[in-house]
Amino acid sequence: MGLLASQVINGLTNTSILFLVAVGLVVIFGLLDVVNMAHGEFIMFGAYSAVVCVNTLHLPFVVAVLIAALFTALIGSVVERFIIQRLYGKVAETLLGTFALSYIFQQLVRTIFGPEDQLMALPIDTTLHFGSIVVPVYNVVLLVVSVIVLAGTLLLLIKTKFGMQLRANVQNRTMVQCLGVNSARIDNLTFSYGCALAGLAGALIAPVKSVTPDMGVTYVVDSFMVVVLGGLNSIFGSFMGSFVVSESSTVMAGYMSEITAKLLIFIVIIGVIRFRPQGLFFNKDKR
Amino acid sequence: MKNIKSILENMTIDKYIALFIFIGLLILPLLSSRYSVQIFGKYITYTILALGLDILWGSTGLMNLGFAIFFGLGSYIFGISMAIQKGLPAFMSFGGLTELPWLYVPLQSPAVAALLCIVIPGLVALILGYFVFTSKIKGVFYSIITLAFVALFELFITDQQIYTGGASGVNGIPTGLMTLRLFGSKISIFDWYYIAFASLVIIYMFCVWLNHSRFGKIIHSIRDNEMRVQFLGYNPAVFKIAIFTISAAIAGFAGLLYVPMSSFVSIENSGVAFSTMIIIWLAVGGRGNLTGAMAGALLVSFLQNILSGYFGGMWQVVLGVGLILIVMVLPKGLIGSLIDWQYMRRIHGRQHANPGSDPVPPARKVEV
Amino acid sequence: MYLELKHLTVDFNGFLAVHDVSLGIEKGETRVIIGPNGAGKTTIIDMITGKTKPTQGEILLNGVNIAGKESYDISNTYGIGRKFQGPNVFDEMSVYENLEVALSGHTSLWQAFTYRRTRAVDVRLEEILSQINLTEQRDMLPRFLSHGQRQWLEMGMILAQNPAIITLDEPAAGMTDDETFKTGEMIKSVMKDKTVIVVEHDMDFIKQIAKTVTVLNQGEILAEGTYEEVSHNAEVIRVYLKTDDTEEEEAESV
Repeated sequence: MGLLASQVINGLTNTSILFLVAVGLVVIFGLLDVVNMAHGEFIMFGAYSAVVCVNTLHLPFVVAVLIAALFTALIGSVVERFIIQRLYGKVAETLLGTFALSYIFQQLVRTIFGPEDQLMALPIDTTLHFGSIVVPVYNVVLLVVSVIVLAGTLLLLIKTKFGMQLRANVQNRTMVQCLGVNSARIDNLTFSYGCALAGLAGALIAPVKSVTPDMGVTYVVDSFMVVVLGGLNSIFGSFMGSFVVSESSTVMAGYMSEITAKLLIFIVIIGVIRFRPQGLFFNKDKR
Repeated sequence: MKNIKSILENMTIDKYIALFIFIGLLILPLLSSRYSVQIFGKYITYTILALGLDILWGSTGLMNLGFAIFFGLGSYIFGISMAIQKGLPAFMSFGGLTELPWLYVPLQSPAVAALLCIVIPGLVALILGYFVFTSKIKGVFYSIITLAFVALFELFITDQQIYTGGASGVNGIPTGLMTLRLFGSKISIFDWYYIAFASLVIIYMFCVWLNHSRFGKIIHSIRDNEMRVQFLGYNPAVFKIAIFTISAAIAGFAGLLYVPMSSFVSIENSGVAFSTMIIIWLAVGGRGNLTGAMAGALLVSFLQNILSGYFGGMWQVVLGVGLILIVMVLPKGLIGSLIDWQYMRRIHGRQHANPGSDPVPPARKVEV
Repeated sequence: MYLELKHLTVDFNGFLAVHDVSLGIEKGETRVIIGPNGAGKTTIIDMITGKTKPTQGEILLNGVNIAGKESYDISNTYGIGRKFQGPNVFDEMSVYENLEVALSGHTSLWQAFTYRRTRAVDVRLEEILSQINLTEQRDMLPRFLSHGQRQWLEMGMILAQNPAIITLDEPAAGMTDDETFKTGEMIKSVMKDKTVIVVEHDMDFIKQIAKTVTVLNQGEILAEGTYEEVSHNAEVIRVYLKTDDTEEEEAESV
C-alpha cells in the first residue's frame, strides 16, 4: 500500500514535468502546424542556461529560470525568422529543418560544455512528510508551476487580445492581414512563446534530471506520447495526457521495468487512437 | 539498335545516374581493397534500405521517422541467429542464461532466420499499420507514432541485455558466419558483396515496376489527393498498410544483408539516430524517384566516412547546416532538382526545334 | 423510390447546416438542387457520398440505408460517384492516367497488382476522352489544362468510374458560356442513363438540363417542382433576390 501511494505521488511529479516539457510542443503544433523536432534541444538550452546562471553567475534560481525562458524565446524567435517562416505549410520540410537544428544545437553545446552531466543543486532541499511518505518541496513547486503554466497559457489564448488575434490568425490568415494585423509577427511570437515554455521546462528540471547535450531526445519521445494521447492541439488534453502517461508508467514501474511499462502504455495508446483519433480528451471537432 | 538508341535518348537523367551507380558498384571490388569492399557492401545495404523508405515516403507520402526499426529487426534476427550457431554467445551466458531462450530456438536454422528477417518486420508493419491507418489519424501523427515507436524499441533493446546484448550489441557473429555454406562452399566477403549487389538491382527493378503499376498510380494519388481517391472507390487504408508492409519487409531484408558486412549488430543501426539518418539520405538525394534515395544514401554515408574523421564531432553541425540548405534551396533534393532541370531543358529544346508548335508540354514521365 | 433522403439533419456544433430535409429521386432522373450560399447543398452531397455523417435521418438507396458508410464503400458497393466543387483531379498524372485510375472494377488491392492496360480498356478510355473533348490533351498534365477542361476531366473520371448515381457539385463553376453549354449537353447525352444530382447556381444551365428542381434555403427545402414552377415561385424569387446568385459558394469541400 505504501509503495502504491508513494508511486502515485511520484507520478504527480512526473506529470508536472511531462506537461511542462510537452506544452511548448503542443502550442507550436496546435497554432502553427509545425512539429518542432528541435523542441528537446530548446529544453536542453533552458537547462544549460539555468546551470550557467546558478553555478557560474551565482544568480538566484528564480532569476535563472526567467533568464532561461527569455534566452530560449530569443533563439526561437531568430530560428522562426530565418528558417521556420519559409517552411510553413510544408510538413516534411518543417520536420527536416527542425531536425537539422537539433543536430546543430546538440553538437554546439557538446563542443562548449563537453558531453558530461552538469550537476545542479536543488534550490529548495526541504521535504514534507505524509506518514511514511517523503515528498521534496521542490516537487510541489513543480506541480504548482505546471498548473500555473496550464492556466496562464489557456488564459493567454482565450482572454487576451493577442490570443484572439492568434486564434483568428490560425483560422483565416488573409482576413487577419486585411484587418491590419501583422500575422508574420504573430507567428514569430507564437513560436517564441512555445520555445520559452520549453526553456522554462528545461530550467525547472535541471536540478532533478541529468543535464547533457542529448537530454532533449528522451523528453521529445515522452512528449509525443502525451501529444498523441491528448490530441495534438489541445492544451488541456496534453495536461490530461501527461497525467495518464506519468501516473500509469510510474505506478506500473513499481511492479515491472520502466521500459516494459512504457511499451505497454504505447500499445494502449495505439489502441486508443484507433477508436478515438482526435485524442482521449478532445471531443470537439475544432476544424 | 535504333530501338535502344531511342530508349537511351528518352531516358530521364535519374535513370542514367542509377545505371552509373550500378556499374560503379559492380566493378568496385575489382579495383579496391577488401576493406573497401566491406564498407561499400554496407553502403549497398543502406541503399536498399533507402529504396524501402522511398516507396513509403516518396511514393506514398508517409514520412516514417522510425524506419530503422525494420532494418534493426532484420539485422538482430539474423545476427542473433549467427551468434547462436556455436552454442550460447557471451552476452547470454554472462547474463546468466544456461540454455537458449525458446523464442530463439527457430533461429538456429539460418534459413528460417533469413525468412523471419523479412516476415517479422513485415508483420510488425502490418499490425502497426492496421491500427494507425484504419483510424482517422492525420498525416503527421504517423510520423510521430513511428518516432515514438523506434525510441521505445531502442530503450527495449538496451534494457533486455541478456537477450539482445543491450547497449554493447550482439557479438560472436563472425564465428556463425563461418559456418554458412552456399553450394557447399564458404561464403567470402566478395560473395556477400555480390549477393547484396544483385539484391539491390532486383529490388530497384521491383520498385520501378511498383511505381509504374496501377498500385503505384494509386499510392501516388493517395499522396497527392487522398480524398479524391476515396470517392473513386478505393480504401486508402488498405493501400497504405500494403505499402508499409512491403517497405518494412525490404528494410528487414537489407538488415539481413548488413550482418555479414559488419559482423556486428547494435542499436547504432536500429535506433532513433539511424532513422533520422535514413530520412536525411532521402532529403539530400530527393524522394519519389528511387535514384535520389540511392544516391543520397551513398553520398551521405561516404561523406560521413571521410568528413567525420576530419571534422570530428562538428560533422553533425556540417550535416545539419547542409540539410537546412537543401530544405530551403533544393527541396526536391539533388536528383529531384536535376530531373526538373532536364525536364525544363527538354521543353525549351522542343520549342526551339519547332517554334510554331504548341508550347504546352506533354506529361512528364515521372515515377514520383 | 430509388434514392430517398429521409429527415436528414446535420448539426455542426450547434449550426444546423441541413435541417429535416426529405427528398425522393427516381431512377434515371436528373435532379438539380439550387439555393443561396450556405443553403446546405454541398452538405447534402457530402452526406450522400459519405463525407459527412448525418446527425439524424436516413439515406435509402433501393431501401438500404447508406448514411454514415465510408465514402469508398459508397462509391464501390453502391455505385455513387462524385464530382467536387472546383476541379479535383490528380495533378501529377496525365489526363489519360487520371481516367485510368478512376476506371471502375479495379479498386481492390489485388486488382491493383494484376491490372493490365488491355485493348478494351484503351478503347473505353479513348471513348471517354472524346466525350469530354480532351482527346488531343490525353498526355498532358492537368495543370496545363484550362479551368473548364479540368472540370471536364473530372467529369470524365466519373464516367470512367461508371457509377449508377452521379453527383455533380457545381460542374459549370468558372466556365465560359460556351463551355457551360457544352457541359450541359455532355450531361444530357453522356449521362442520360444515369441518375444525376446536380448542385448549381447558373440559371441558364439549370434550365438547359433540369426537369425537376429542388430549392434549398438555410438548410431546409423551400420549394420543389419543374424549372418553370420554381422560377415563378414568389418565395424563391424573394430568397434569390436578396442574394447575389452568381457568387460562388465557399470552397468548403476542397
